[in-house]
Amino acid sequence: MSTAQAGTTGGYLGAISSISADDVPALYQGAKFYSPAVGEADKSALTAWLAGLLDRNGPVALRRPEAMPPDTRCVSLCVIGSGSAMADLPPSGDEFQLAVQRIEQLQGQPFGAVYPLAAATVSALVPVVAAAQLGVPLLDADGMGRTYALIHHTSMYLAGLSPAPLVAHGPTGESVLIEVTIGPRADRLLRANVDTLGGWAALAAYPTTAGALRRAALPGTVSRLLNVGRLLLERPTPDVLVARLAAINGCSRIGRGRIVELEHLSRPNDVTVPGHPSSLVLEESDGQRRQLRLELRSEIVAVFADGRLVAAAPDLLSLFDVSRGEIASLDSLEPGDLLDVLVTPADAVWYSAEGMAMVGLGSHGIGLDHPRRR
Amino acid sequence: MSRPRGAALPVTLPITLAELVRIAPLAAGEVLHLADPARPVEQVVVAETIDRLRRSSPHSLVVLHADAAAGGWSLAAALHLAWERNASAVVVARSVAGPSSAALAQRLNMTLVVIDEQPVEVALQLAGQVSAPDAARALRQALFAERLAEESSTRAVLSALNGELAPVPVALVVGDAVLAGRAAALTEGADAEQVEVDVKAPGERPWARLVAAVPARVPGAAQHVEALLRLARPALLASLAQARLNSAQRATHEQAAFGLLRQLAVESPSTDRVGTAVEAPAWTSDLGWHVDGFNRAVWLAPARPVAAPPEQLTELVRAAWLRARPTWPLVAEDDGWISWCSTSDAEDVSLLRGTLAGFRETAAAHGLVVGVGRPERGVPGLMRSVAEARLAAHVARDSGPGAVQWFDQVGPGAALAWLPTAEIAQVADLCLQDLMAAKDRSTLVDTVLAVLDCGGSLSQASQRLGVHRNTVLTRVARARQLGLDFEDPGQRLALHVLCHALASLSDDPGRSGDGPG
Amino acid sequence: MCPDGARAVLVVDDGTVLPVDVPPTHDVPAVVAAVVGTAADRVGPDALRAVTVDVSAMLLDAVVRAETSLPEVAVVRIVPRPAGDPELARSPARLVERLISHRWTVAGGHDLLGNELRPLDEACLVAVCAELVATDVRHLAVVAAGSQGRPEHERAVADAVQAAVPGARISAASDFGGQGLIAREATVVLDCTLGQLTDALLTTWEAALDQHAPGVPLRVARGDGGFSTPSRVRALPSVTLGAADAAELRGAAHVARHEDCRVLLRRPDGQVAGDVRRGLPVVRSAQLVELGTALVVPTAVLAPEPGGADGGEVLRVTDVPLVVVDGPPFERVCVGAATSQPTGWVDEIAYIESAEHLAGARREAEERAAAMVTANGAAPGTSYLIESSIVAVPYSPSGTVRIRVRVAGASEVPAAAVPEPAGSAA
Repeated sequence: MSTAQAGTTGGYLGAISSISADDVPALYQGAKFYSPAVGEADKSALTAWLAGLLDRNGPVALRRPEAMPPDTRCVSLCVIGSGSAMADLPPSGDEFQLAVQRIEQLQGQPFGAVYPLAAATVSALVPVVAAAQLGVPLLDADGMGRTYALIHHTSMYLAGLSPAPLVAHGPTGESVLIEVTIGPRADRLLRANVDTLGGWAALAAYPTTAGALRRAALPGTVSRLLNVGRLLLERPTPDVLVARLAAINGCSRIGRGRIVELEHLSRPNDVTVPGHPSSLVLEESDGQRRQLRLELRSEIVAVFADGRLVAAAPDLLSLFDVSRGEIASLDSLEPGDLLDVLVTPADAVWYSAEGMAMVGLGSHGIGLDHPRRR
Repeated sequence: MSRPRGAALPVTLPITLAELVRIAPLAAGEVLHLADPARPVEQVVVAETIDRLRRSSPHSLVVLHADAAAGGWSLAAALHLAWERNASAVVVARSVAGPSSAALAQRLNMTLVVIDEQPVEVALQLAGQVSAPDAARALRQALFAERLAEESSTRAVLSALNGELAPVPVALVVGDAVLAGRAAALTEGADAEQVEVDVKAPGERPWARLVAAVPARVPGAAQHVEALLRLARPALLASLAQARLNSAQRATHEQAAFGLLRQLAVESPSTDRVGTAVEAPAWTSDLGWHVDGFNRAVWLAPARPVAAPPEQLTELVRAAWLRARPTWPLVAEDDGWISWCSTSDAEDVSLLRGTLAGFRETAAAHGLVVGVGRPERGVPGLMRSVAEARLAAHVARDSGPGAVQWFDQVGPGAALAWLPTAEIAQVADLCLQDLMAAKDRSTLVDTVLAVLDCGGSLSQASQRLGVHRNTVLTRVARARQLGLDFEDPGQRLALHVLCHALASLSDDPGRSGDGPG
Repeated sequence: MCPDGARAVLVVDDGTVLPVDVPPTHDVPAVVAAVVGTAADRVGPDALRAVTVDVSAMLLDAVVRAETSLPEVAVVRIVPRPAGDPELARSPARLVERLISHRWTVAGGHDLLGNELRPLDEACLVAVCAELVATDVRHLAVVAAGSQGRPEHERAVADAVQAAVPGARISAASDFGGQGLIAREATVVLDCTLGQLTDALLTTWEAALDQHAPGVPLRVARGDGGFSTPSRVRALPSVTLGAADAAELRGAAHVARHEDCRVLLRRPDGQVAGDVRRGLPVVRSAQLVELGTALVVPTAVLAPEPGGADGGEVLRVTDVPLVVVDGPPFERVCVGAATSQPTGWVDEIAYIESAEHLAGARREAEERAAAMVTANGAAPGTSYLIESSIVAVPYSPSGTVRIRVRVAGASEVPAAAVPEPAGSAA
């Protein structure tokens, strides 16, 4: 999983030491790969905003937690809520900075670095925004290595760090400070507020030290995302893409098929988790012509081939639109689209008993063993 | 009967899917995919989790419940496991199954039934049926008997049978003719076994047979089908009795009405060629008859003349002839039956041709011929067409059973049809004794007839008979020795007629076996 | 077509394409006369049933060249608070931004599910109207957060501006629906500035038709591959953006006689590929390459495809036949426009609670799209669903769905000799 070794394939640069305006398109593409939830609607506005900041304030330094003094104060950032809401109500620009500063005020100490709560979706871009605005480095590490539904679904929480105190700052200019001792309570309290804040909010959470993150965060995930993004920008053929992704993150193809059906509320619905359960049925267009059934809930949580479970959360499951040569996002799927279903192993911590209990199939109401376990 | 009546039914045959889906509770559900109706079901498994399926034994019927029926994914996973475990079927609540579930069931060829009732209750009922298959069968038979009791026509009984036993085809057969049901029951295939049950009319008279083609590889299927066929017999007899009552009344009514109509045509002051002056009486339409347009009469008659056809034959002809056109008339008269069709366009024969085609099998099976008259206007025209049809029918007899003769195509040849051939043949017995005693009599008669038909030309006659000219010459010489000398112009017509009569009688297979005296 | 003049072809109802012998010219009456003449000579008198015109290239050219005749536009954004970052305050598309002379933010707006985030700041609105009166800008684009579901704030602003500046042309984003404030803003800005030019172009064509073929209706090609009536296009000129791309895909498929295919088109920046499904180009609300911004009107999806034409490896995978076009595009564009149908679409966010609720929402969206198709010139009752897709919006409250529906109909005029002149010049 380490990205420290030098890459042998084109576009792969190994560990990256800074992020400049030129890296923004790659950052965006990588963010799309690590979560199919990213739509196109706000792409140009967000990338223009980030590129403008990096142009004005200079590149952001990207540091591994080990490269920082252990007592450096660090805070994670992400967008909580939906990308669609953010597209329709764009940030004013100061939300992330203000969220961080609110915790600084509370704790009376400045932060020396920021890091992504989840290096995927727009949440991969906003820590760079905050780093540029605050003039601090960005850590090459995150808490998920992809995205999961709830804010305590992190390696930090598994390692015993608390998400609190946390601040959500909305595009309305309002903010919420949450202080809890039990991680899952934070998410419950937060969700109710996010809707009122406009459907999304800037979240600053998991204030801690670089020393704690050395063991608690997933290392190298920002570099990895940038490398994947650079590869996608080259618009390789689907076969080349999978072969080269395999070298970066172990990705492989499950199958290729056309969308024949979209189902909704296809599983019992737990309203405390965002995004309702839905399903996607593909007819394989080559090979055995299997029926591929994808279970969705904000992310793709399981893939069945002719009813046999072939991949499941915490695996990262993504869709590559082979006729357009780009990652497909879940909110723009249409019957007739021709897609490659890709599976990438998640970071090892998610396959532990604790990790599986938190983000595995059981958490989505699917009572089956993970295919890697059987 | 391909199976001895009363053979003991094996008691432990497991119930099949086809049987289960016909009785409650599955009968109230919907079969999204039926992989193999003959598939036995040996056990019912209530799966609350997908894991439970991993422990199911082959030939199980799996009812999904709770977590195992949590959504499309669980049904997909269950179908896959059912396929792996060689289960017989999967049953699930309707709300869980989508179009893609049916597609997957089809792809895995796994039977899938959706239900609206509580899965656990359904499973309990199914378990009872599977553990006591004979009770379930008895239940099915009782339900079926109830349904049959409501049917009053032969056709409805057969369609109920076919519905119940689908895909097994069932037919009601009289002789070789299918009276109702699906003719496919009679086609013998390598993988089908025929099951037959006799249906007797009152007085133990054989009337018809119920025939079903049952898949041979399904153990116990034949016994079960036979049991259901037997169940249908009382209903069929009831429908027969009703039909006979109806048809007897109708026949009398029609006969009287046709007599009146004929009288009308004769008494009418205007019997001119056009014949439109006679108005059709209003009561004709009460019978469903049409006589206003161009009437083209049909005469149905036995190929071999008989005094009056038996009543059963009349019924059969009525059933077969009126199958497609139930409102057409059918009037028994002398040695045949009169019918007609009335059209506004004299040249329109499409309806009639269709009916004739449908009647062909019955006609062949029961030794009937058909004559068709020309289209004529009004009541007098109808009577003229009837006479023509009758003439044509007589001509048709020359071509044997099943023949159809249109009067338009007969011409003067019709005259020959009226010759009393039987009487003429008796004349031959008296005045051509030597010939009638000869063993090669029929060959000689055929040869002389051919020579006379060909105007005395031996070459033409040899071609027609397919033998050498010298053979013809030899036979003619021998015939002359036996008294059949046609050289005398004064006797030639009489001998020609005699030969025609003898030849037409010997064509009749019914008489060919008779020895001379 | 190119801004170098209008050209035309004639499409007979059996699909035959007849050339119309006229050089590229800005003389629209001459083009129409040639079309009418060709139809009379080759098909028969009075055989001409309709003329479909593609004005998208003319409009796009005016935007790209920043033609001085295009009026400047003032933009009012209705969001809870103004953007603090300069990049967030403007459109990321330079071509769009330079059409904008003034920007104001009025506090207000709704979330995607229709909840009010801020009451509309009436005092601020009064001030904005006063400032607007003081400028010579008479074109206003209004976009409010959440106006797809709740257009009240946009309408209040439009009403106030109309009262203050009676002659103003106002485009409101709620007329288009769609996702993303920036894309919605770009769409209304273009709509607003292109009104005059569109009107002038259509008037020229209508006059020419009146002169040479009175009674023959004029249709206008749309970016989604369909057509609208001139009156609809005058009201919403943005729907024509991208029409040339969509028409070229459709035309290439028509000429190649494929219902489903992938078409490789040559563009100045390299080859691109677009799909045709069941005779209609595949469209999305996506980025229009020439403008550098996403729009909320659907346009043909074109993916860069360097391979295929010259025997190179085809990068994008497809399981439909590949059509490689040759020669100048105008004939394909004309054919595609001439053979188009009236179309309509709906793209919106909804909240569903049950499967029945979902079915109802889908039905309602389909009915609305069908009504639009009829307004765009379809014979009533002929509309049919092309695409219908409902997807859960990720990371939104459970039950939030995006509904997209695309509907086409049959034209009221029976398909017959439909000639197709492409474009014109001012």
